[in-house]
Amino acid sequence: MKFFPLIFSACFFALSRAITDIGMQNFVKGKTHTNNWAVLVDTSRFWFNYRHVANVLSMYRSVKRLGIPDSQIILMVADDMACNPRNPRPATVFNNAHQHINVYGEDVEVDYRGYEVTVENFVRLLTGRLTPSTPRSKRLLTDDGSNILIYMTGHGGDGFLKFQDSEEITNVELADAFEQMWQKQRYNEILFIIDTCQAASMYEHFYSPNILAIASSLVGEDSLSHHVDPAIGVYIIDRFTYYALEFLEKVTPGSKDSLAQFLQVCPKRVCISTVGVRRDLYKRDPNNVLVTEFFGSVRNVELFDHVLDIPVCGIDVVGSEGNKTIDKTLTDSPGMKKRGSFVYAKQLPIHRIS
Amino acid sequence: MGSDSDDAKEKDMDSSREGAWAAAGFAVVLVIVGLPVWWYTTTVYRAHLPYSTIEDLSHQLRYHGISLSVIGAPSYTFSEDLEKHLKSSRSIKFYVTSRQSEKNERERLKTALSVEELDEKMSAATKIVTGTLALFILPDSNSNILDAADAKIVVGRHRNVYATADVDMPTLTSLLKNMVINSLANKKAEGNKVLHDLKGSLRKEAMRQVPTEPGYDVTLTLMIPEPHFISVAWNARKAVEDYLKPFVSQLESITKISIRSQVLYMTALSVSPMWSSSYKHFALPQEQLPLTINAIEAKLGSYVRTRPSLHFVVYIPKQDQSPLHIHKSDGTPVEENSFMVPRWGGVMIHNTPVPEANASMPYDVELDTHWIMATVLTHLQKLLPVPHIKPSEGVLVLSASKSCELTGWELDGLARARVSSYLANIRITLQSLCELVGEISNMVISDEVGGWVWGAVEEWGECLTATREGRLKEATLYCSTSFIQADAAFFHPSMLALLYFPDNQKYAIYVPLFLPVSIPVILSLKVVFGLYRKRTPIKIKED
Repeated sequence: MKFFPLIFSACFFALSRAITDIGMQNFVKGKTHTNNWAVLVDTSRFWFNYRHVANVLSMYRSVKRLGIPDSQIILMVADDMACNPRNPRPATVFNNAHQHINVYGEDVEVDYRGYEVTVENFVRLLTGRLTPSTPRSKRLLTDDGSNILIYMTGHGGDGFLKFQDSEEITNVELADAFEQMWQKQRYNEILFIIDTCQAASMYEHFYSPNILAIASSLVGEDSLSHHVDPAIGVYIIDRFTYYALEFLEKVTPGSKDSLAQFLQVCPKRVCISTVGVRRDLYKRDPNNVLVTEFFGSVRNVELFDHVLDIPVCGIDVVGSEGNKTIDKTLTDSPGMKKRGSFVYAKQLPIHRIS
Repeated sequence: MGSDSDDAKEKDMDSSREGAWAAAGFAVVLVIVGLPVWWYTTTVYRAHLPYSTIEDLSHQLRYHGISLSVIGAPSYTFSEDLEKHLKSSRSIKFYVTSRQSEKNERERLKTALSVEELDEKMSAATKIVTGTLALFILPDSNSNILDAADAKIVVGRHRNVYATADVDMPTLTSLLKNMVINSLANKKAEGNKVLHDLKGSLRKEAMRQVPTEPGYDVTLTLMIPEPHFISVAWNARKAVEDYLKPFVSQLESITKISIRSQVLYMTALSVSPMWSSSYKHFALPQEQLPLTINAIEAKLGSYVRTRPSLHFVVYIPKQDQSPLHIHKSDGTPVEENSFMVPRWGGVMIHNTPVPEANASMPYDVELDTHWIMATVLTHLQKLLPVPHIKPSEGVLVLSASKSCELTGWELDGLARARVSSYLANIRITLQSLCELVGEISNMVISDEVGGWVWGAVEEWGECLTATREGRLKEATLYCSTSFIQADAAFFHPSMLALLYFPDNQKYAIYVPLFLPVSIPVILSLKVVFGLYRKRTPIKIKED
């Protein structure tokens, strides 16, 4: 990747927010997913790749802020920049030299870290072919109603993305992995975003339906970094992600920004590379898709006016044998019956605070 | 060796012949030993899979056979007419048998005073097995029981339906069809439908139901954001035992549900309700609900098991927000102060009485267990597709007596819907496995995976037969084992062993490996051929 020694150019561009409230009802009606997942991958390590970690944490920050719970975010970070001894501001990762946004935030739950970030683990995660001992937090437990945001960043070339310093994932493997997910009905729609050099080559081979792919650069182009932080001494974020984050910061869980607006987030004059989009696999019009359908977690809700008319149970004692299905957690409080009310210890000053 | 034979000149025929033999020897060794060894060591191991059986089974007709016995039909034409009306569906097939009522049945009919009593007596008289239905046609002398209940058709608590001889046939048949299976499961049985293809209410239904899996984890969470004001005494264990345990143990043969409970302190839902002066409570508009659970989701705990989990949250509102009521989009409060999140669970807002002015904190509060558990059961029945009959005129549905259990036909309907869903899943899994194996040549199929697949296919076939024959219990059993095996095969870690080793990389590895060996051999073979060609014209000259 080539670095452009352009220091933080102040060309903030006005985001076109033309979409009005009219479309809202249609959006909700056209909603096809029931839950949201995010797979965020930073594939490169070492201090000089600080910006890739900042990239992936920017996305993490956004999806978490917009409502995807940590249990549904798979974060793969190949190196720990926040705790790197070279970091002049420990436990922080900033998206710009003026420390506007600390993308490391308060709590970051990294699911795959350091040398766990491998091609094999990534493909296993996508295809679900994990060893039985893999914990739930490291699994992509999606179903046919899941919208998945997949964001990747690192050093890429024509047709591959480098993982760590030793291996790379090719576009064919990635396409095959998506096909296997589709065949098993493990996603509803995928938004694939990749910020790397020649990024468009990574989505060339996709053949599974309902994938919208966005790449920070076309084949033959380099994806460029945004600016250097002199205190850190390296480039701290990539251009595409920088502007994407700037856009996402303005999105709130209830806002109506469409995916079409997100596609315009980094025009060539600020990105320098051309943002590539592959739409042919995606059936819906990005104008009618909300950004929060991928970056947020807006649930469906149903209200009922009546509950089941069941008689009051438990007056006649139900036989207590066959207690197998009720877990032990219920039974481990023997003092439950005796204890009428909870008493709080005096030393807890809770009552004085509020 | 190649250079040796290159040096050989015609003058020394012997040495050149020797060289040629040597070259030929190398070539032969390379072809006879080298190639097979290379082939054997680099082929992807693939256990034999029953491709054709999978193909056969996926095209087999899928319908649920249900035997329906008509008892006491007034005439032969009645049951024939019924059969004709029941025929329209592709995914259900009724086997109608007809018989006259027996003596003891007639006696019981006469003594029954109400429909409840009638149902109780009749189901005691005739045992109707799982997966079947019985339709009792009441003689005219007894039809006054139904009239008293203001109904033309009565659905019993087990697997009985009562009607009079002059019943409206389309109403009866559509009722029977709805009882047997819900419309979504119907669609699933017909073909491979993804969410995108479904429309309207079917899509809503599909988006609501939890994926069909062998087991579920249910967590009951009591959220007390201000434990310093409110001290809640709620015996969750007793509530679960009283209300959920009968339900869970009833479902034992269909699905395993395990229940846990927890109390979460100092955590509030992220809501910003507004004071509604007309209703004298805080109004939580419906528009806020989709985002309410996001904030607490991380705190609801993590699970060891990977099977689907359902959450039911009982929320005690904060003091400065209570009483809190959910308002519909038209501004009216929701009668049951709760909402359901499809495929996730439900949230109930439990208001507590306002303490007296000088009450000591924390003050004790009792929870309404009945309301909480009734709501949980309502949501749970919606999430698992328990069949539901829309209330219509002239149809009386008796709910299960005295407890929270499901009625016999509801249980059967749920089992059938799950069998349909399992069958669709198994087909998708095995077909896509076969397709992927064909498409991706590097996929290893170990013997273990092969074993899973063979097992799954066998059980699948059994399940299809059992489903068609209406043996619901067996079908459920076969389907769930087949599903587990098919999934185990599909998600087996070994399926990925050589996956990220595409063909272009193969050439990159093999070319440098084989080129240094094969170039000298090929070059020396050229010499051998040259020698052979030279020898043949000499022979012709001699002749």
